[in-house]
This record gives sequence, C-alpha cells and structure tokens, in this order.
Amino acid sequence: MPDLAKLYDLHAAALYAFLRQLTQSEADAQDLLQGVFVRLAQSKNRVQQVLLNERSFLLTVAHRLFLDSLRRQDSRARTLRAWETQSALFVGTPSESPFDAESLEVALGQLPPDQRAVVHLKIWEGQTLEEIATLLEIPVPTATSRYRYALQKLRKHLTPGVEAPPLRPASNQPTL
Amino acid sequence: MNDDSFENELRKFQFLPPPTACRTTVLAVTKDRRKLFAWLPWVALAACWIVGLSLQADAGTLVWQRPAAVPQSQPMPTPIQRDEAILQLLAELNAALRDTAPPNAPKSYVPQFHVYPDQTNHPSHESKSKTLG
Repeated sequence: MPDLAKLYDLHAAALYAFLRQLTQSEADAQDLLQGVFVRLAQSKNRVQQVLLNERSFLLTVAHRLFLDSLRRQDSRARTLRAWETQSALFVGTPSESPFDAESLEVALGQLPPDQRAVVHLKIWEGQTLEEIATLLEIPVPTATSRYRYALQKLRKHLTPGVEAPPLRPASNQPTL
Repeated sequence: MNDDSFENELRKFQFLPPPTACRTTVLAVTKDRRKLFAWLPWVALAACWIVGLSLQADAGTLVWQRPAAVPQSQPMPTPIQRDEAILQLLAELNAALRDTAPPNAPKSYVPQFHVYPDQTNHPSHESKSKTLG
C-alpha cells in the first residue's frame, strides 16, 4: 500500500484546483478532495491504477465525484453556496498579463461546468483532447468543440477590444 | 492574439493550493477508513461461519446439540406421544386380563391397572384415578 500522504502531497494541489474550478466552491472542493482520497483508501485496485496512471486516474475519480455531487445537490444547497465567502482561485496576476486574476475567475465562472472541465484539463493539466475525452468519458469531437467554444467565450470576456479569430476549420480536427 | 498565445497567457496563472488543514483532515479520515476496512474480512468470515452453521441446523436444533444415538429418521417422541402410547398399552393389557378371567370370577379377581393424574399410583388418589379398559 503506497503512502497516501505521499500521494496527497504529489496530487492534492492539482486535484483541488480542478475541483475548485468545477464546483466554484471552496467547501465543496475540499469535500470532494477528501472523497477522492477516501475512495483511494478503500480499494487496493484503485491504488494500483493510481500507480500506473496517477494523475489521470485521480482526475477521473474527482470528475465522477463532482457529477455525483451535482445529482445530489438540491436548490437549497446551491443557494447556501452562493452566500459562502470564497477565497481567490488564483495566487495572483502574473506580471505583464493582459488581464487580471479576478477577471479570469469571473470569466471561468460564466462557463458551463462541462466547458470549464475541458479548459482546465487542457490549459492547466496539459492534457491532449484525446486524453481529456477519455478522462471525462465523452467523445473526442465533443471535447474539441467544448474547448473551442470555451476558449472563444474566455477571449471575448477577457479581451473585449480584440476581435476573436474564427474557429479553426475542421480539416484536421474533429468537430461536432 | 492567436489561440496559442492566449492559451499561454492563461497557463501563467497559478491556482491557490488547498488549505493546510485539509491535508490533516483527509489523512485522518483515510487512516480511519483503512483501519475500519482491515477488520472487514474477519467480520465477513465470522458471518459466513455463522450462516454455514445455521444452514446445518435441523428444526431449530444445531447439529452438535442432537444426541448422536438417535437416528435422524426416527425423531424422539414428544412427552404427549409417549403418554398416549403408555395409556394404549395399559388399555390393551386390561382388556386381555378381562378376556382371560373365568366367567364367574369376582370383580376383584381381575386386576386393573390404573393411571393416576399425579403419576404416583398411590391408593389414596383412587378417587381421582381413571380406570382404563
């Protein structure tokens, strides 16, 4: 049995960022992060999978837990969550960035969770669209289109003066 | 700004890590779960053992509690069945004695077997006794 503390130190930050991005809630992200590690502690098979393909497997578990939590969540919980005091999503704004962290957080918050998941995995986890499709259990064309639409919306929100280039032609990339 | 440079700008943003307390909570919870599940195989084994023994039980009596000398095809008679068999035997015996007695023999000549309600067979209980046959 590998040391869960070691796995936590290696992956918790990335998982927390992903969950924070999906849930838009600090408390929910912490709950789901705990859920991921509880599931990991329950099964040796899961631990073996983590050893084989660590980060992707953990992100898949995190995404499934998020979907489960969405199904369970009632409107009252959502209302209560809206009143929570949230800490910032990002450490700060990098120097010479054309937009600030708060604007990016707002822009990401306006995306649907499906698109947020794809954007997060592509930009901040460096996964390919094929890997993202496997991880989120969706077809590759769906992942591709979600990414394109999300990127277009982000650009429109963050750089309003700059006209966004049209979506790339579907010559070498699958689309819906 | 093309797609690649826009993606690069986004990539520069770093996410805040989870709070330190979160690590303590997660590890405490997972440690408890692991301890809990370490006992699970033993509990399951004990449950299987009990279920196995229950399946061998016959009419509410466990196998090892049944007397070995009594074959399973001939169950022990109940107290009521045993009493009825004794009464039947006594009735047959009284009838046989009555049949074999001489025709002009006095009534006291023919012995009668009695069964007393308190099982003492004492003459003082004669009024309560029941004459068989």
